[in-house]
Amino acid sequence: MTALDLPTLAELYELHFDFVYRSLRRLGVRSATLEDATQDVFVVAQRRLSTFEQRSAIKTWLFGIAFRVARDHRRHASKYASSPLVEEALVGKDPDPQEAALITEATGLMQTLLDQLDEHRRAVFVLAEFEEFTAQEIAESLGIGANTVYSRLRLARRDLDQALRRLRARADWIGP
Amino acid sequence: MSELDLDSLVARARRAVPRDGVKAQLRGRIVGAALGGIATSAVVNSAAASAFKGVLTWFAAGAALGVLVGAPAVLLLSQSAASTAGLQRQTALPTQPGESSRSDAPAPQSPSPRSSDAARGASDVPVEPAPQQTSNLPQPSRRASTAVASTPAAQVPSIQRETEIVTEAQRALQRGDASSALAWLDRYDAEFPRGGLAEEALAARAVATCTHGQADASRRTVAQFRRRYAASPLLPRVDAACRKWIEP
Repeated sequence: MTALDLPTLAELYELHFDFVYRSLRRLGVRSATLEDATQDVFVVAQRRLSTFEQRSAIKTWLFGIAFRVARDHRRHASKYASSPLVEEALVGKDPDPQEAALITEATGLMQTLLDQLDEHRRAVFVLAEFEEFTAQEIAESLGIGANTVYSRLRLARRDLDQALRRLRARADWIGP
Repeated sequence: MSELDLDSLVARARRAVPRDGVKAQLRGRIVGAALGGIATSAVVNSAAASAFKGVLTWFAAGAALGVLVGAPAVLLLSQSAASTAGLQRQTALPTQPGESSRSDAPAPQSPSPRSSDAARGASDVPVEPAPQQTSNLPQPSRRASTAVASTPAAQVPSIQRETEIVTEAQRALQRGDASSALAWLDRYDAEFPRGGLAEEALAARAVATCTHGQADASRRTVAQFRRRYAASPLLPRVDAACRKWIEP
């Protein structure tokens, strides 16, 4: 496959904006800086497009970039600590307003839980459970072995289960 | 608090999407920034430094060719040439499960001969079409249109068309043809009064008016650009091109 077969930036953006945006958020980029992080992913993608080997899928490759950008943004998150409260970037969208509200609520709760995960387990969990990547795709995206994928996914689920129980216990203790 | 178990919680949260309008809002900014190599984070910007070196190389090449426009114009042009080549050089995109696959249907518009021009290097001097003639209007290339045929209507064609018009304006500037550049920019403003590349278009207009030596228009355009895009990364280039027209 030649360079002529590579996607353009506009194509990348149109086809993968949602994927990049939601992945960054689920990887822990705050809503307040999500647009900047999204911009960074596409800037890097544009710059490195010619080196994309196409042995893996473009989404796999993009997620690898998003993972590194998200890490960088989290490291610099403290400077945004005083930012005014920003609305959650991912929301429910459904003809039934009640269902939409439930999706938004679940998204907020899920973000709280994901924030308690180690970044590597978090990345595997996001790809496996939200994007439904195969173990092989996750391995390629993150540059790890398939066995590590399974291991991290199992540990992520365990951590999240515990975090969810803890959260509910606190809510019960504090009361409605 | 929801009593869902983890799997049910994930299943529901999986359905969350970006807020309405975010994609459209960011399109111009991201496509423009990516083409200019502008990133926001320190890590990414370390890589941006090397991209800027590429821009300087273009500048040096432009100077060597005796391009009779100011350095800012060359820089604008350099980005434009690189971006145009980037936008036009590739097409096929491997489709993924769950992603829209693109259509093989013929493009709705005929391919523009300008597309091949745009894909050439900045040192080429293409024949300028008269922007005032409808038959010579810039058209999105067949390849680009086909490639995004499965995306929401009018979105990709719009940004591609915007890019082509701004690129033509900048290429005219590169040739020192400020009048033609301004004609292209008038067309841009007419077609895209709220365009995603408005910042780039206004920057090009400022450079064009200053290069053309229109004192009042220069001051007015630079003031307008500063007012609208006070934090623009293009501002230093505009200021450099317009230095003699700007009040100290």
